[in-house]
Amino acid sequence: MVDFQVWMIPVFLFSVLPSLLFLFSLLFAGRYQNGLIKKLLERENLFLQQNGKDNIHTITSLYPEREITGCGLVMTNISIGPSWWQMFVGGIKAGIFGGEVRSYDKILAWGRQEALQRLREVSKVNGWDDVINVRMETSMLQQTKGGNGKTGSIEIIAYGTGVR
Amino acid sequence: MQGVQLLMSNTETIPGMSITQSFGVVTGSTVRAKHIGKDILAGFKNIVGGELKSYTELLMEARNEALGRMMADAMARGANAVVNVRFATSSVAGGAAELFAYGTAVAVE
Repeated sequence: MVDFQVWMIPVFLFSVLPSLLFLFSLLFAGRYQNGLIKKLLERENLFLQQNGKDNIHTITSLYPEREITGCGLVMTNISIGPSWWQMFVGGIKAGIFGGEVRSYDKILAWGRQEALQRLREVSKVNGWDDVINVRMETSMLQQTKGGNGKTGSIEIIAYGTGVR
Repeated sequence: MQGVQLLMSNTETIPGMSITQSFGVVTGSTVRAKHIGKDILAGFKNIVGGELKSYTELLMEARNEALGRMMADAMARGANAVVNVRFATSSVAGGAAELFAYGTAVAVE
């Protein structure tokens, strides 16, 4: 058994702990994200069952046509981040080999669907029957502040005009 | 500003109403950044990925602020609706993001 010494604190903080967290990311991030996708699918199915049809459209007219009595802006957002492991693999793929970078696929696809699902739910809560002219936008928010470079965050917004 | 309801849509017109006058482009923007504590917490959430809730809330709040400024601009011009509202996001230096909303102020009946 090694005796405790002061130099062990920085060694633990800056080399052992990050390695352990990285290993944790490799082992559990995929499982966690699969759980998120599963939960989202359940919510989508439940919404479809309750509402009977999808209520968001990218077109500006409703078919079959009907009278519109009120409108207002509906907007939802989500900001997502890939796991450390995904960022690491993506960084190597993008920085050295090029080609398709698959490691971001899962989290981006989930984020988009989640933003759309929130738009469906929020518009229902706000009392709109349908949302027309839905637009989506993705933007990368860089974190240079703090300087560890470990936070990658992507913001996805979905907005449209709610009508009743 | 309270009590007056400004109609907003991101389509060319306000559905069910007709536009009588246009007042030109109105804009609203805000630059936001989060404090270092939230940054570090978000960094830990990044270990497994997924949603970074503190960012989501911050950006939603900021975007509502930008929308509010745009609405104030539209009201100052005497409009009662804003059509074709669009959003834009850009990251400026130092981990701050600019949220920007713009649209056309109009009078509708």
